[in-house]
Amino acid sequence: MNKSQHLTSISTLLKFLKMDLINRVIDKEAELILPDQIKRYYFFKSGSFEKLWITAGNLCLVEPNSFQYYVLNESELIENTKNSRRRGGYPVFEATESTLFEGIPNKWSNNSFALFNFGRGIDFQPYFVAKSGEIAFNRTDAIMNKKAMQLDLKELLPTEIKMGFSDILAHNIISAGDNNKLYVFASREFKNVIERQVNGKLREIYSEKFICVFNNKGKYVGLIDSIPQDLVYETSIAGTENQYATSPQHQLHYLHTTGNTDNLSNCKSYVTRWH
Amino acid sequence: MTLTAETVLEITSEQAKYHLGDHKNLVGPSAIDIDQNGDIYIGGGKQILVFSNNGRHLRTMTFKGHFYSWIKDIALGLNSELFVLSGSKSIYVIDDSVDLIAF
Repeated sequence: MNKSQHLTSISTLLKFLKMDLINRVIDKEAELILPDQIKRYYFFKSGSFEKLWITAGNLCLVEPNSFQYYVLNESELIENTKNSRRRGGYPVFEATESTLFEGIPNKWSNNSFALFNFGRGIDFQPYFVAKSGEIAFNRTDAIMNKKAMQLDLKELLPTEIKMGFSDILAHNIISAGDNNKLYVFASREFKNVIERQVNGKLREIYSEKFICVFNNKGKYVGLIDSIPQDLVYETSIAGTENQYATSPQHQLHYLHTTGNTDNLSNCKSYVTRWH
Repeated sequence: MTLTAETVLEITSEQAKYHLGDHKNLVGPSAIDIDQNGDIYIGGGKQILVFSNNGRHLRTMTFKGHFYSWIKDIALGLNSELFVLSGSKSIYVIDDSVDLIAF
């Protein structure tokens, strides 16, 4: 090894030590999760899951690409994996007919239903949102016969909101939990072209963000508008009466709704944002 | 029937802890869930952060070594067990009562 190679090796070693030191400083307060502190571990033979939630002991796994989802209770998960094949000492779970559900009505082919988003809706199971504004979902009373229902925002929204509906996209759905409300984040974009002599044509796009609220029968009950623009792109949502959302900007948002939830005109709602 | 959403609180140093981007390995999109005490769990990258409902940062948990893919979603079970969905078709179940090792 010549002198130049020695210097390169030393430089590489110093860079490694520096990065290790930086990582240790940044992680100073972190607690490590080690393998023996993981109580259980399940490996699924197939599936590309994007979402997981638990309600009343039931576990729901959503596979949006295939418009399918699994509903399991924890004991069922344990039982099904007890005698299954194992990988690396951990059980391998394989879906059964009783745990697998279709997320969209049969009359919608995958080609015509362009998935835009999905989220946890009323009654535990997921809602799939199409780019057209339609929402597909299963109701609890329909789970047994595996028939999906659909909710069409175009038919449910009041006239003043229907205007310009082609520009409205539902971004996400919040489960309403205890108050049995379905909250749909949506945006309505207004496009305006401004002529400026100096810069030529400058196109400005104005966006209005709002939340549509439906009851558990699919009836429109109200609207919360003037939502901060960066809230509408939330990626996750949780909570019942108090709703929390994270945004791609790494902010946690807080939405609180109080009052008689059957009549939103009596509610006080606000959005608080922490930076 | 229209409600107006409004910002009602000023930014304080306490609330600044909600800026999740300061935490290493926590990248969006992030997963979120709330436990029975109202504590907020945020999962992203290889980390899970816990905040109280008044914005105080309570703890940070980090997967090391054995956890090769990023967290896709998290969910809290009835017994405070933390279910973690990873990108490798796996679910990890962590008993929150277990004392984790401080780095």
